[in-house]
Amino acid sequence: MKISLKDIENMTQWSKLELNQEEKLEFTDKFNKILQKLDIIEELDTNHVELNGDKPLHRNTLRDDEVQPSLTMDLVLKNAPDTCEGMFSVPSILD
Amino acid sequence: MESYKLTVHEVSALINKRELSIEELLRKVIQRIDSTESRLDSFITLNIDEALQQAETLDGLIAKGATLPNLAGIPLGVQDNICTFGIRTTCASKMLDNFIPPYNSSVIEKLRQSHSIILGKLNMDEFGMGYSTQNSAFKFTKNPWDLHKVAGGAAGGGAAAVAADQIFYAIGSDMSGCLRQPAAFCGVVGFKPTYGLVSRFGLVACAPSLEQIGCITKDVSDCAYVLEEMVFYDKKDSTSMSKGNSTYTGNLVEDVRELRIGIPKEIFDESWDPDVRTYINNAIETFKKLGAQIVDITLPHFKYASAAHFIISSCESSSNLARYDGVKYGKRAQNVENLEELYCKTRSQGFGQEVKARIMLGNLFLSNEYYDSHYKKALKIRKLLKDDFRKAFEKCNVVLTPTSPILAFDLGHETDLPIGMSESQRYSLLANMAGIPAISIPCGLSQEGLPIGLQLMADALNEGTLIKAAYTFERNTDYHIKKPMKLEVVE
Amino acid sequence: MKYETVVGLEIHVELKTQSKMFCGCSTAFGNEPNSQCCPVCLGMPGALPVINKKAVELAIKTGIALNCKISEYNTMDRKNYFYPDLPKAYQTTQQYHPICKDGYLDIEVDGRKKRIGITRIHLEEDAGKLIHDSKNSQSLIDYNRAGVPLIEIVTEPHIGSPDEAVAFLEELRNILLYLEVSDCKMQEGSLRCDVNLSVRPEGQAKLGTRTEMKNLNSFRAVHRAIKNEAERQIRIIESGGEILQETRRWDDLKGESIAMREKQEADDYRYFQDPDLVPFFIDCEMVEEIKNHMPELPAQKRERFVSEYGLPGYDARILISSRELADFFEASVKLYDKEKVAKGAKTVSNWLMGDLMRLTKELGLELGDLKLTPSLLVQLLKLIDQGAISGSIAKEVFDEMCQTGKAPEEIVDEKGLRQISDIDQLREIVREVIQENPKTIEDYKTGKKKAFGYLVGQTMKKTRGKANPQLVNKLLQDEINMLH
Repeated sequence: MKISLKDIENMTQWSKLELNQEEKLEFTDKFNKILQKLDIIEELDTNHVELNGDKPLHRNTLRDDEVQPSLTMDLVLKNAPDTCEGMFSVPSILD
Repeated sequence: MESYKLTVHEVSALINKRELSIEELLRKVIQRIDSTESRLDSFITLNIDEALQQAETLDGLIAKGATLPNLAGIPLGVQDNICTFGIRTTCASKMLDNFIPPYNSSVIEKLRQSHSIILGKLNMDEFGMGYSTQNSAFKFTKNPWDLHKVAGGAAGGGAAAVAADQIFYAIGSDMSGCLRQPAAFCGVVGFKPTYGLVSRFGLVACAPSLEQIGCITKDVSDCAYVLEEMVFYDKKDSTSMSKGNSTYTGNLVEDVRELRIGIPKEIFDESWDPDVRTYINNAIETFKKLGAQIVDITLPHFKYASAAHFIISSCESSSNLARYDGVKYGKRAQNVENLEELYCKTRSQGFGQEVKARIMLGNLFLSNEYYDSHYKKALKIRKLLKDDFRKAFEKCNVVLTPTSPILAFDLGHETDLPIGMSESQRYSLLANMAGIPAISIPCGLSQEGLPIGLQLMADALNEGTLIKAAYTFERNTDYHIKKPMKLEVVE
Repeated sequence: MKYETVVGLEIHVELKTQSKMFCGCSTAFGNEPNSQCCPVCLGMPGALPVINKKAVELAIKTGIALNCKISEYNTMDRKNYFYPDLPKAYQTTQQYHPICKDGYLDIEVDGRKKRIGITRIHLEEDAGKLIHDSKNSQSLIDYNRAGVPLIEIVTEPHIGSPDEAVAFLEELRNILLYLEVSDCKMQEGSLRCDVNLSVRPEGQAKLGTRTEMKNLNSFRAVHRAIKNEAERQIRIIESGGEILQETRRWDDLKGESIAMREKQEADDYRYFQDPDLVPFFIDCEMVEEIKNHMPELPAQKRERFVSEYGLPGYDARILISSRELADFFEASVKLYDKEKVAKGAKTVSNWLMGDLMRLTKELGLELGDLKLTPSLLVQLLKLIDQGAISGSIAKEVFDEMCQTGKAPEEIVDEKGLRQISDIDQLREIVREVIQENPKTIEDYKTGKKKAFGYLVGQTMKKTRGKANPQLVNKLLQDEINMLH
């Protein structure tokens, strides 16, 4: 498979990154090399492999519905880049 | 011998016999760090003040006649992607440069209860993405055996620090061989337990289905001691297992007569360093002499494992690293006009190139167009590989490979392909794909004086088998007591 | 041309658990912002989720009530997108293996029954709350709600009108309340509904392009929005235009919807199974256990009220409209009269449907807010039966009783409301009334039947309502006849 410019644009959008033109070209080149390496998996037929329904080694343990102490609000907000009135603050989502 | 050069089980005995105070030990270790750290760069953050306070408290307890657990008072290093309450945890990323966790990971909680002394947070590749610790946003860690060589990665800081006697052991995470490959490069023991055996709560994982917390130690006995402290059932981790055997030290027995060692025929190829070939063959001979049986096995899907591992780890990373958006913690880009810019600038400035590449590719593989051909296919290959191992373990109880087919390479070596696609972790990542335990132990020194690692893998929950086999090998060889003399010469 | 409206609903229901979906933080509503948060629901580096068992049980309960198949194999999946209210930048939901599938719910509109298919019910987590501070052009985030367990119920496009949509929602809400799955408070956001709507010429098999409507805060808004959107789409088609597949936001004040801004990225959420949560299995025993503890559902209760108490269907429908009211009804009937159940039931029903409904409406309160108990109601009914008070006095006593919680007998005695049944005393009063109203008597004699009612009224007025009405009727008749 080959990466198109559209792919790169989608990838940066999904990843919330911004790349300059040079980086875009650099990544496209790098990604194409990687994809070429990954082409090896194409030769393997896996149609017969069933993924679902296997009981895994780890049976999920569901938790009982019990309230545990939350963090203090001080600790909740301690690492926040910007806060206002006890809340996290970001540029307006309406802009 | 200087006390910092001893192993965990050796200092533990001295402390218990009151022949060594914890503070005395700690001061020696701090001196050692002072004299070596500028050449190694194994730590991101040191925690010396707290450590000294703790040492004083513990000595007080001992003076009052308290009997402390095995690891009490013994300084360790923690890879910087394991959350430590109140101690900066950066994942070697600018993104978390200023992040101080408001909670402890479960494994740290456990070690704290055992009065372990966390001496610092160890350097690594950013978020664990890399295999030479050259992707750290802060510094490159050097190999104590040759300061112009890499220490391996992602846990290069831990392996270098243990090899250079800066700490007695390190805990860190292993996604593709991230503990074992640096351990092999630095001539120490690296261990990745069965998936689910050690709680991952508080481990800042990239690829949760592949990553497992393990340890780097000076020898196999220490590995068993540390493992005993780390293994427990944790209800905060949905993948935590309750079946762990907690008496790993009981497997420190010299006996491989029941052992059937499988050698996968697919692993031999041109990529091996000639010295690796020599010493791996020697190791096989050693095992034979000790009474183990060698059997040929096959892992038919080995050739697809690296590609599948790369796809799965990229996909999981793309989603796991999405939370670093500049809203709740960590870096936030300045001078942004709107929310979209806040996201894009924060992430573009906060992540290194390697991490960006992995996130972008992961998102591609999960997109509608690539999901079946890449992500789903990789999951299927993983399943086939697990089946390969299941069949292999019908014939043998341990699988042997080199940890890495190549030796520690030069610093600055261009790495044009991301982690998992690297030559050096082709064998180690198999254990991550299959969720099985694996150990890397020293098995030789190359002509240029670089350590060579031997990897043993066992079926899930057969940690005991691995420890017994590795311990027996260690007792009959002397690679584990060799020290990186070059470091001392410069000193 | 005639058009047919095709509606499917997506209903988000906050589950009534004590703790969040993946962590132990409280789900209580209305507390200080960010006071119910921990590393897990804040999406802190390294934190891991563990599924709340109660949330799974409530989803299964709902699935059973909506006639769904319960999945044995379940996965939680990640829906990846960035938004400030989503701490991990992915929502943990069930894309690939939802917990319940292929069910239905029967509704009735204008006496016509209809079956609405349920496509799926899946478990997921809620997002935090965003508050807009336009003055400082910033948005503030409170993560107390982040991680509260939700189920999303998705219907087939089987709904054909605003009335059907509301009937479906009312029936569904009632079931969820009966099951104690959710509070279903639309104002607090514990029940939210999105409408998918398209129109097509009647008889056409192919579905038209659909729009998705959000921000519907009441059933009334759902009703209005469906009507409005169907009309809008028909208008566009008839004028030769084309419907755009888009998400629209309903503005209930303006009574219209506006298209929401287009997403910039391709609509691709890169769903994949959450590697932090391994698949979980629901075995038959768990489903049986839940089935065995299911309360009676509204539809079953309605049928039983008709067959067991002989109530008219109309009464039964109103009484089961809330579990509280239905329980109140049954408790009252049991206390009232053990033998003559049928008659007693209708009397109780009349009081609940009549005076209780009137009073709650007047006061803007609910049954639970009043001090009325089944025992008080039955005491009142017995006073009427004994002839101690008249029906109209009883209404007065009822109102007071509901607000004060005093025993009806006490109220009657305090206010001197006991019925006058003394014939001699009443005859005196009746005679006075006849003497004071010669004109009315004339009218009555000339055949104006209404005049009699007026005389009864005058008598009641003189006794301040306390006269025994049957006796007043009889005495008036006697006295008028005696005038000849």
